[in-house]
Amino acid sequence: MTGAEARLSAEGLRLTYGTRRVVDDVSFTVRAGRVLGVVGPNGSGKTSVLRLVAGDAVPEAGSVVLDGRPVEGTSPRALARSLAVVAQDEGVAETPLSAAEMVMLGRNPHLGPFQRPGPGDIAIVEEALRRVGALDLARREVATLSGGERQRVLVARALAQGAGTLLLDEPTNHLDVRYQHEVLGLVRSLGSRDGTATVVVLHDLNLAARYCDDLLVLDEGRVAAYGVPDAVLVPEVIEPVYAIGVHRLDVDGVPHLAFHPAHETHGEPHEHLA
Amino acid sequence: MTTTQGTGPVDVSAVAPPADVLGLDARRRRAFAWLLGLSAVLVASMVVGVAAGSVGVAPSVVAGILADRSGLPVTVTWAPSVDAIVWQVRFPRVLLGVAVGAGLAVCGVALQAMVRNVLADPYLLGINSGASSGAAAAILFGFAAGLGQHALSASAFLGAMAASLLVYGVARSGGRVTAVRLLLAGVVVGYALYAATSFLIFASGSAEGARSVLFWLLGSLGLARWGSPLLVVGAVVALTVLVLVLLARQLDVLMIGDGTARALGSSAEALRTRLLVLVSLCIGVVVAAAGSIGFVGLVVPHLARRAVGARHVHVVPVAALMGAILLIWADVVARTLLAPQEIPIGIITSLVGAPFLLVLVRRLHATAG
Repeated sequence: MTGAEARLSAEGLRLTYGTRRVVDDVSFTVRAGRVLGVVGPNGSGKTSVLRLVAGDAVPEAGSVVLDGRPVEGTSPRALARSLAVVAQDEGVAETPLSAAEMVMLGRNPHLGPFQRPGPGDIAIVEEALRRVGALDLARREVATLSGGERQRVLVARALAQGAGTLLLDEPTNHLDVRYQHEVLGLVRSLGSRDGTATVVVLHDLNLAARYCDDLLVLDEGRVAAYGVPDAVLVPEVIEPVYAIGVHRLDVDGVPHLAFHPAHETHGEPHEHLA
Repeated sequence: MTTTQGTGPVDVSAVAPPADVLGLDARRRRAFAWLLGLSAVLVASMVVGVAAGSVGVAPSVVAGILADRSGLPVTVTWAPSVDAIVWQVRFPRVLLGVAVGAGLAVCGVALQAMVRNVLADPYLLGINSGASSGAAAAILFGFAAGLGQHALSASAFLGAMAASLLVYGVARSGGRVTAVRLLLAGVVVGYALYAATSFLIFASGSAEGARSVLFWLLGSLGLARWGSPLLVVGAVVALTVLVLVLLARQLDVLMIGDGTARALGSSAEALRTRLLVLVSLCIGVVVAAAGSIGFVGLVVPHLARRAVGARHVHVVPVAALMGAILLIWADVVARTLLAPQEIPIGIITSLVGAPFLLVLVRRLHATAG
């Protein structure tokens, strides 16, 4: 996938809340078809970086360029046509919208203020739901769906937006292991099949290792490491950032990290696991 | 997981199949059925509303008077006094009830989306407190007395507008008009103006005046007459319903969250500001005409959502009809229960609304837990 144009690039981003600098000199590039994982401990600035990219917050310094246009100054409507966001804990739990109605809201940036969705929009919504394997959930109310189903519906809404770039904030939160892999596998396939550029914030480093092309490791708002998982997920990088002992095993060519808290370092990791 | 071979982000060329796979048509038909049914109930309720009262009038006579007044050739079989009661008093009263009920209900729908809280009602913004202060000033101190019979309504409307300007100013002072900030501003302004009303009552020292203010605060359709005030209420409510239906999809998006609204290409703050202007105007006009009638704006949006789902393009008109019907019946009860004495209609709506709220809160707990 080399040689593809940069869909999204961030340059020297900086953001301060009060006296706390939550994002400090963060730069990265995501090309079409690639998945960038943003990882780091709690409070390291992952969500803030995502908010800057989505235009939800204005950077003090630096800029985000999406499809050749600066995000700052782009109208929400124009931005929503090239950038889809699946936020963490959206207020979808209370709304009695059906899944199809929720996905139809993804057509919002394409419709005039008073325009009703037409047959074309209905076809797009249906295709989006089919693509995430949630067509059979179309009539169900979003509030009644399981966490994994809900996440798939939100990804379908992002697809219906027809945007080339996708931002996901911890899409695997509250999901059990199977759905974690299902949702990220779906995200991965969007990249390889449609050329969608994706930025995904993840807590779980092992999921990040499996599904991301590149990783951005943040520590107190700064970039601690940036590169392919194989280069980034090494004890020398992860141990100081997370303040925990790390042992790396490679399973099927994918880096896999085992953690051991500092006070338990008296025993050597079990080498036979590798 | 079933997938299809897609080439673009989404294959637009696919034609929507006739089968309603997404269930969108089913929802639309359901909403349409509700609208038809409620319209029929509304008409029937209006007839009952005109017929019922301390002097009972047969529905056929009501129809006869309406036909006669519309210029149709009918044989007049009723006394002139009956004509006066039905045409001069009850018709405008029922029509005012329809407008006030619909207005309160759709403003409740808008407010619940604006502050993203299902327990929000139109009075949350303190607009009714402003109207009360205005009404108290008119009743107790003859404020706007130069306007004659419209002094009370005009003064109440001025109070409502002043309150909404205050709310907007307070909500705006910190920058973005967020849901929480708007809620807080409404509560603060509401309490402050409630205190102002109480002070006016206290300072006037008039027991009779205090009673009038109290009666006004509890709401009544008794001031309804043919004429420009009724026309203004009707026009403003109709405009509000229309604009909310046109903005329906924006309300859907707003209901989910500011971040989501933005991600879907709508500016939540700009929308909230526009809605605040519309809702303030509508509530101001309604409260000026009929006082603070509680619970309609809180309860009806829930009934409407239960009936037709979450999409505001369906919820708004259904809520308008439900609100109108509810208010007609509440007024019938208010007029007939202790006839010839009239109970303030706000007492009736609160009596019906409070248990409903209790059920709602229990249900919210059940789903949250």
